[in-house]
Amino acid sequence: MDRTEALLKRRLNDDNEILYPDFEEMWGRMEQAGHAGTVSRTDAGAPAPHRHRSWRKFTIAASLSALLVAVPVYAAVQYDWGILLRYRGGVQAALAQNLGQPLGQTITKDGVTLTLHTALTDENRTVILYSLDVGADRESGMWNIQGMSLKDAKGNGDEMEYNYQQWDEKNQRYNGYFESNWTPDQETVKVSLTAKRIESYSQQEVDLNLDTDSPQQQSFPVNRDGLESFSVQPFKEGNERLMLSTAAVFSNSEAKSLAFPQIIAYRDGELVSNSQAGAFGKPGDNGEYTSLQYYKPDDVPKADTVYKLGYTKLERNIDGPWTFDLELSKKKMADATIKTALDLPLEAGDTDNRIEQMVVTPTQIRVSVRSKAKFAELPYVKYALEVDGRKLEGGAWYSTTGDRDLTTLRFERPADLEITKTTSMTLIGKYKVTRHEDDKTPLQLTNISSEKQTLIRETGGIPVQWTYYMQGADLYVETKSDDPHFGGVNQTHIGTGKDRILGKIVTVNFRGEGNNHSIDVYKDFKGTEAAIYMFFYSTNEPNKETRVQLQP
Amino acid sequence: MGNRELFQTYSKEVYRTCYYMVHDAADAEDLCQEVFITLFRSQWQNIDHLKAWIMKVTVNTCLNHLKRRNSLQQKLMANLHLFKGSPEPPVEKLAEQKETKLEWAGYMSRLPVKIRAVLTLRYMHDFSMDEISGMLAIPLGTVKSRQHKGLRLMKKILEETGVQIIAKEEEPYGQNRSTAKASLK
Repeated sequence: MDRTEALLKRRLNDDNEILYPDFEEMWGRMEQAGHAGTVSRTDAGAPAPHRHRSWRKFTIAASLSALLVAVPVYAAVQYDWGILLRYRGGVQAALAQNLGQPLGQTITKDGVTLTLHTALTDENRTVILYSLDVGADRESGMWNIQGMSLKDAKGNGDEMEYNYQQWDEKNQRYNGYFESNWTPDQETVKVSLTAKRIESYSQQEVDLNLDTDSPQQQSFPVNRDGLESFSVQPFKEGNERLMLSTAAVFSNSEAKSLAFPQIIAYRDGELVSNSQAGAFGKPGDNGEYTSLQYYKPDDVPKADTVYKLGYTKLERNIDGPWTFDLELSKKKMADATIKTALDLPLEAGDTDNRIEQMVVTPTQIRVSVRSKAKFAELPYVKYALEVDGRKLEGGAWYSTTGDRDLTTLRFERPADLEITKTTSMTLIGKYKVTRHEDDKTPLQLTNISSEKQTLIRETGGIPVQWTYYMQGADLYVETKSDDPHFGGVNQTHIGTGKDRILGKIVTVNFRGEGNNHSIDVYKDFKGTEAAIYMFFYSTNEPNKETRVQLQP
Repeated sequence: MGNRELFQTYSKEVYRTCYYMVHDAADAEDLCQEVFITLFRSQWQNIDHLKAWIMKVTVNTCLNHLKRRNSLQQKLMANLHLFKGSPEPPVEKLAEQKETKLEWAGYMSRLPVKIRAVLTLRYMHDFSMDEISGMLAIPLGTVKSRQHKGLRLMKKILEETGVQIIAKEEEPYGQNRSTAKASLK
């Protein structure tokens, strides 16, 4: 088979190449129109309605963020039941008020027992607490449940569902919770909770003879457990930080989905922490699994530090399905739920983002905001809710399915907080990030060579440093500013029109994290001069705040 | 297996085939739905080589769609870049492009549709020349010559595009570098 054939075979089958539509939604449309054969066929002749086309622009943002938060599973899990619900204070609160529904169902397979303990379901979400007893095999590694899903009798569920579990040392078992955005459409509903399989994993390490002083990409063959090779390219920024850009090539797609390859550094035998959060799982040009990790150069002196490749290996797989049939009721919770329709701007003068609804249940408070902006991205990064003078920290959840213009701000409800229709409640947004597309002036790079050269130019009134240099055949362009109000340049390009060359991004920066250093690379760059442009930049206002009174 | 299982098992493959055949996410989604409605209406439980039959329905649905769509004007527009290199796209078009990283579908769309169909069945689904001949109702010799021609054209497209196209694959990340949502807990 020649190279073109091999490439075609690989790329046409590469799931990373393609953004799939929402198949559940498609199924729903066909079912509604009577084509799927599972509901009455009275209107079978009618064409199934077509989906809204406007969702496409949001899916990349959503799927990328899902990739980037796929944090390695390296950390050991040794907490008790209380800590399990540390970020689910509202669940603890409802349990304390005895609002939970006892389940007590058990399935055992191959010596492994899954037990469902308690369910909580309300207007906002459904949570099911479970435990997993792996019997004699508890020493062999870490266990997890894959593909947990809740569906009602009609097969409806929600794609925003997930499970999380921790090792319970005292009881020698795992405790976990399953959480779904699905809620019953009537007071009592028959549902089934299914787990596709239960798996155990071990953590493997491979020695890497890595030279962090060399700026070259260094490649290491691995050839085990479906992992073919691992390559690392160090970027050293003086004494500030060491960035390691890595790429793993897999021969087995199953291994790729669970291996979470990463670099582990040991200094005199002690594990060295990363100096800042890395980014994991961005697909490379040829489907590699690429990541960025950071160290402080002082933490990893060359003479005392060894580097290893760490990855997760599948040890056991107990196929399911493990299916539990349940009847859930939201009656107890419904009595203590308040729904309020709102129509308020997120801040004075904001015409793009309006607060639409607030739902207060015994476990959670949700405030939904509808955005007209292009990327449905709220202007503030941090959110809190002030209830009777008490501050609850919350987070923004961008919808990946269904209504993509709607962002939900979620706040867990503490046990001892009473809320009625007259309780004073204020939404607070903090740390404003604004995107600007106004800087279209090119910057002239001259005498491009292996020597690092720095130019300073003002963008939006802020001095920005541009550093450029050749490394091998590639041109690197770095941008940053000492002014913390500068949020960073998103991407650069050289030239315009049909001759435009796009910079390939080396760094991954998150919105509002305060890091404005970006690196782009132009592979196989020819020439000594270039006119360079940016697509857009952002500005940060860490102390800017908006306050919106929601009630009374 | 019922209709839902059939849909769950084959939806991704059908969609992917449609996407690479028509290079338009919205059209591919409509076609994917159309294919399944056709399947559900048929006696698919009685078919022996189910996957081959599903792909036959899929590819033919796409070919029909492309035949309908390709008025003379659209044909000219679609092939302009083959003669001139990429024209500067209008702003809306540019925004659209930034949202997709699906370059390989772009390369495939530059091939004549009949050749595209052969390459998709051969390299996405691994069907034999004989099977493809049966599915598309064309002689074996024609399958072979279309495959050969397709590979030659694809090689040329890959050589022509070079660095700039490879860099373009990164563009969606550029769009999202500073917008990636870090607030998921």
